[in-house]
Amino acid sequence: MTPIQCDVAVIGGGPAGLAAAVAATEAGADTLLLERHVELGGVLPQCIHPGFGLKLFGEELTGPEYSQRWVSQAAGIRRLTDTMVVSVSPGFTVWATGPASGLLEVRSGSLVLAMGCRERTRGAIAIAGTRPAGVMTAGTAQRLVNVHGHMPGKRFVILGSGDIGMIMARRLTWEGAEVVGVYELLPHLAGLRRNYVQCLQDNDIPLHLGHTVTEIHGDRRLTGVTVCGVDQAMCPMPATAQLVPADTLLLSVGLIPENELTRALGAEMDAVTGGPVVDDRMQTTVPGLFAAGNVVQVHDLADDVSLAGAVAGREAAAYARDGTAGAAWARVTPGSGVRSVVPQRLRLPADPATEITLRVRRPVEQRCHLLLTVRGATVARRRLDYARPGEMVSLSLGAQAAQALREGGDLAVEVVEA
Amino acid sequence: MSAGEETKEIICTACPRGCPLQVRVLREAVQVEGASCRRGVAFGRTEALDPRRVLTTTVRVRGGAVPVVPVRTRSPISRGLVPGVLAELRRVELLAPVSLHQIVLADPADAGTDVVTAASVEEVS
Ligand SMILES: Cc1cc2nc3c(=O)[nH]c(=O)nc-3n(C[C@H](O)[C@H](O)[C@H](O)COP(=O)(O)OP(=O)(O)OC[C@H]3O[C@@H](n4cnc5c(N)ncnc54)[C@H](O)[C@@H]3O)c2cc1C
Ligand code: SF4
Repeated sequence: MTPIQCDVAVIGGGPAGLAAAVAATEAGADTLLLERHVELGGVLPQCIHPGFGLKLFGEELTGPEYSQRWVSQAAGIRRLTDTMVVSVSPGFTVWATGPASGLLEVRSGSLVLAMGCRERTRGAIAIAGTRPAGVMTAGTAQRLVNVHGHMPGKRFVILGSGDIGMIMARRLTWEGAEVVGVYELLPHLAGLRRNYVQCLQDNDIPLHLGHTVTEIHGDRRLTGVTVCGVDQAMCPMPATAQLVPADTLLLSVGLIPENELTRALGAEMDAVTGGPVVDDRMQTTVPGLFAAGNVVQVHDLADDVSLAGAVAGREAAAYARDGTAGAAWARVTPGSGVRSVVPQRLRLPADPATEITLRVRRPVEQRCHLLLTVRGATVARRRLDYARPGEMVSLSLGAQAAQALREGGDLAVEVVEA
Repeated sequence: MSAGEETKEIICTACPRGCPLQVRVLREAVQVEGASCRRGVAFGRTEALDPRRVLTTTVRVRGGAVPVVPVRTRSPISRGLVPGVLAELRRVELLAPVSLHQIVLADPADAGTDVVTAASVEEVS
């Protein structure tokens, strides 16, 4: 078997991978896109609701329309669909397999990882009770209804107030099902307020904050769940337990970046984001290995995913051409009030135009400042009217910070109340 | 509060901040409180008088590579018209091949906009 040769191989054909493949090709690289599904677009084809593309195209597109724009831009690029990457080794050699192609070996100068996320399942959150049919993730239900035209139940309970769960609550109601309620463990909404208003409020679907599902009932098929209020320590309060009859439970309890391949290559991982540590060019700690999109961190907007993918593709093409990975880096570390930051490293000399993205630990419902500090001195700041864990925020590095980093030290990111 | 007056609690969704607005609808005027910016005032007014939404759903396809195709209203429609348009769409079945932005329903319920497909579907023989 002769290996397939290319400059840049991109693993995953969602918005991150499509933008990476387009950018790498534009930068002159011979590019190969590998996607395990028959169709390109990642999770976008199943996200039929509007809200995509405002940032990049200035109009409100649905997921399938947003996907279509990128698929047509990628039209001339070599791709293998229905082909799953099973292993990768340094250098890079990619092993992939699919029903039509069998086992394939791909040799590439650089690699872009764009495998996206998978959803947390019942196993990841451990709920007591039986194991009947009728328990699934919100994304699985989304695919069943929007792509396969199949309604998975009649009476639903949704656990978790993430965006996919709220969007599915509206979708199922519009398809004639009953959604009894959305139950959220935390005392605040996990998803966007816009989705709370347009999906739950518009359709009179109750939201129960500070509640969780403690037990699952049913023999073959789900018959109901026990829901319970939780105290400040998030422990269920048995006195508040209540049986809610339902035939389907949807879990909307978070996404986990899909990083088996990344770990196998020995890239340093960030325990908080669940993705690889990347620098401002989306390069991991392995030279020539780039990553973008939800594989790096869970993004709120597909537009931001596409932008990050384009950076990864462009830089992967440059690496395949000249092999320069950089020589020195400064670390970027989350300080007080900050849960996670991306990029976690800056290539030196630092580019003042770098955008530092972060998520805060707790909601701050008042004016606050994002601060960048080097060796204890503030080198950049941005004022915010509020900051919430559910919304990624960013600030530019700026010239002063870039200059300070020339003299050594790391960059810390903090949130302080004004 | 006098007759013909009504106060609505509305969360502004013109930006992610989500300010809580109190909108007083008097017979001939609308008064918006709680907004942090001008956009919120405009939002509160429309949302109180005529809330609009982009409707998206799927309709069945016969003879296609997939059994359903996503559809959308080209622009937002009055929220009150949503159930009626959804009911009309439930009775629609398209014949493959289906092209992107093909008209599915022209100006349903006098909503002032069309329902079009949001993807294409190939025909299978
Ligand atoms: C179920 C679900 C629903 C979502 N719904 C919304 C929503 O409604 N609105 C919103 O803004 N965001 C939504 N998101 C977030 C959304 O994922 C991102 O906005 C964006 O799609 C991420 O793009 P991506 O390219 O990083 O990943 P994805 O879109 O997930 O694409 C990753 C691609 O990589 C492929 N892949 C993975 N592993 C391999 C392998 N080993 N070999 C070959 N191919 C591989 C996958 O098949 C997939 O096509 C959702 C996410 C999930 C998981
Ligand atoms: S009032 Fe202004 S700041 Fe507040 S949510 Fe609306 S648009 Fe945003």
